[in-house]
Amino acid sequence: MSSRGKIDDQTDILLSEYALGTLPFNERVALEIEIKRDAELQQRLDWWQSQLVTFSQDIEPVDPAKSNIWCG
Amino acid sequence: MASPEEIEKLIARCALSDRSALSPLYEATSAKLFGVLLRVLNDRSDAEDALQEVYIKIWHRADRFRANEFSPLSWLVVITRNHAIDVLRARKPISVEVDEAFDVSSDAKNPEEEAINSSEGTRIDNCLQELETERAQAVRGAYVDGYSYVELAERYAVPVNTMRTWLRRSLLSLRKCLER
Repeated sequence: MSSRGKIDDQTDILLSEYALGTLPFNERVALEIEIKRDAELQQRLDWWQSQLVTFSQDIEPVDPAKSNIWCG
Repeated sequence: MASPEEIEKLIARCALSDRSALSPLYEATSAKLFGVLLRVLNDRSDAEDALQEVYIKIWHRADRFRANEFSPLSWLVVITRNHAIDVLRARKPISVEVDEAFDVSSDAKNPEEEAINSSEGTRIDNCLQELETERAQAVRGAYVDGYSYVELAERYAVPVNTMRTWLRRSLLSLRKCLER
């Protein structure tokens, strides 16, 4: 579990909205700038994402038609 | 499906710029990632284009994978889902900001009965069950289907600001539960 550390409630809820994908564009851009400056924010965002990603477990795999991938 | 250890090794090889790792990584994971893209983008052609872009991102970000935070597949899904959200938001006009949005409630039909499929044993699903059903569905819909606040507000026939308040309170409740 990632500690919230010095991250206040307001920032933490913004991080959760960011991880959820619902944060409005302007707020998202501003938060991304803060995240790039602050490793603790990135760590906390990782925590939120690691929790929310479990929602994807139920999504069924689907074979893509294309398989020509870029290789570096 | 490759094992988590195999996927992790392939990511590690990508991090070392080993081009021969990308093809087996694609073979092992593309169906799952494509499923995520298709779910959010709801368009096969867009999803196929996005899939190529996702693997480019994975290639460039492979050195940032931290096994202590995510399982390898979860990390790939996070990259994929974030990319899908970027594509989704880019193709939709930003028609309204939350703070400027007033009653967008409508007589839209009730949200489809998309069951909260409980992934047994996952903490977040247990925590989700502590929320009111509609709010839990909204949280899941935002994540899995990529719904914005505006779309959720329309689906649940509430003002956008109300929906944001719902979701924020739900996230706080989830946090409280997850940190117990």
